[in-house]
Amino acid sequence: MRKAEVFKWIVRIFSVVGLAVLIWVHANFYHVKHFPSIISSFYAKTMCSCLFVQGHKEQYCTDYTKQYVPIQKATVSKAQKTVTVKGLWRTNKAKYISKRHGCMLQELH
Amino acid sequence: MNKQNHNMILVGILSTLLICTGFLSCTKSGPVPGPHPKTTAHTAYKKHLRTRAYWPTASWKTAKPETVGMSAAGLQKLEKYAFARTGNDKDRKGIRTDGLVIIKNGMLVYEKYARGYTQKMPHLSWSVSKSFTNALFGIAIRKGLFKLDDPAHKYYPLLNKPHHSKITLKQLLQMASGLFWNEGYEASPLHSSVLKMLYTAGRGNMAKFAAQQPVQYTPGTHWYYSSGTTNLLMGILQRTVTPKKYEGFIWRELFDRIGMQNVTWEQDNSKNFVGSSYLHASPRQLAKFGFLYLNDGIWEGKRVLPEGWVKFSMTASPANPKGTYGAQWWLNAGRPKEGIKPRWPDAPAETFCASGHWGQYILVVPSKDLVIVRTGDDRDGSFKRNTLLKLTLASIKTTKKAGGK
Repeated sequence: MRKAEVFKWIVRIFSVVGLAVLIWVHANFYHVKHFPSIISSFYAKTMCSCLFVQGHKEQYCTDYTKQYVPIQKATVSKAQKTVTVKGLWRTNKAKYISKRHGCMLQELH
Repeated sequence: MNKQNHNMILVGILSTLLICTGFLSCTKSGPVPGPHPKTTAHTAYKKHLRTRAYWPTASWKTAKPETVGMSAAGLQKLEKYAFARTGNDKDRKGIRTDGLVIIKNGMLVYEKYARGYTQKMPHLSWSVSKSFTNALFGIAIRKGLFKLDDPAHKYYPLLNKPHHSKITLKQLLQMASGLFWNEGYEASPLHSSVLKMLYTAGRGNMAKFAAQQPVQYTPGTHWYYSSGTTNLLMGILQRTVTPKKYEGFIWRELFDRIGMQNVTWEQDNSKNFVGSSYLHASPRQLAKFGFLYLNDGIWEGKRVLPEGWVKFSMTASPANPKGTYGAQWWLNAGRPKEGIKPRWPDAPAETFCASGHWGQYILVVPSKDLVIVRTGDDRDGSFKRNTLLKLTLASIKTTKKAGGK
């Protein structure tokens, strides 16, 4: 009986917290939807410009670009002048266009 | 629940934590409390007009500090401050100056580069780019493409909606459109409009993204520093000049006129130059842009910016309560009548500044015939603009022009 009572309270608390999270996510859906991509696209664009516009070395650019949220993977192609980054389950790519136009993030699909 | 939705929930929870901890390493480009002109810059720089012995279109002439009334010892003190490595590079702490150039009486009297930068390397200027947008509007107005008080929707049909249609070009230039915006970076990465514009939802067409924001305040009544507004201005310019002629217009009318070489200006996916953030140039080239404004918009004896444009740009936006902001330029003047003092107390009130985050500055002090360009990578606010100005001004021995005429 006592155990069942405790269990009931745990379920109640989790339900309330879960509901609060759902309401929050719903209310902020637009922001939540776009947020994760910021990490990889910021990294890709900043790294691309640092390497191919400024002309710094890769280690310098890694130190310059790093954020508090770690990325999952970054791939630099010096041949194609692209930087592809995966972070927070999203992948984004920036490409060097020309000396005048620098780097640009890929178009959103 | 599919994997993507599941991730979404996780991200939501993570985001909340991140907001509290201020995770992103990009910071807001230096809002500067500053001021309004009592003795304005305009009277101060008029005396220099058309009196230059040379224009630095091809390159800057150099001079020893003493020949233009500056003290080499004073500049050494400045160097000691600006290039002091006070922190750890890995942790990105302390003063981290990348470049410093000083132009006095039209002569380059000091330059130094550090942290892997050299004289010719371009540096990302971040929001210094906004002041370039100002110049392009000045040029377009000189050429009769716009009038300052025109409603913006005349040139950008997306704004042709009940509230949006009241926004004028002048209000956009003065950051008083009333359009909703959140310029937060570290403080609110989740709700930040500027991060969305540059990196996610808005990156396809940044001007459109800004124009689609709701009108939050009656246009002209509320000042808010908005990178969206600057990109909306660039969208208006692109549309009016026509996308085909847009790039040629910018280079021919501005960069080529003042000899700004090796400029990189990155674009969004709609081929619009990102006026809010993405202009790259070396300090020597940026100094030419400061010099254009020091000379009231005149270059080689001819007007690049129309008469009165620099005055307008350096007059506080009426809706800006502290008199810190003109039109895409930061001001030092304050509002003395209301007891609001200059932001940089050791510099003359007429000082103005193009300012970009992580410490990019073009500072112009018209009464001293002075342009200072400083690039850097400040992540913790250690570097103080007032100290930079104070030490530079302290190295000026006399107000008499000893050379460079």
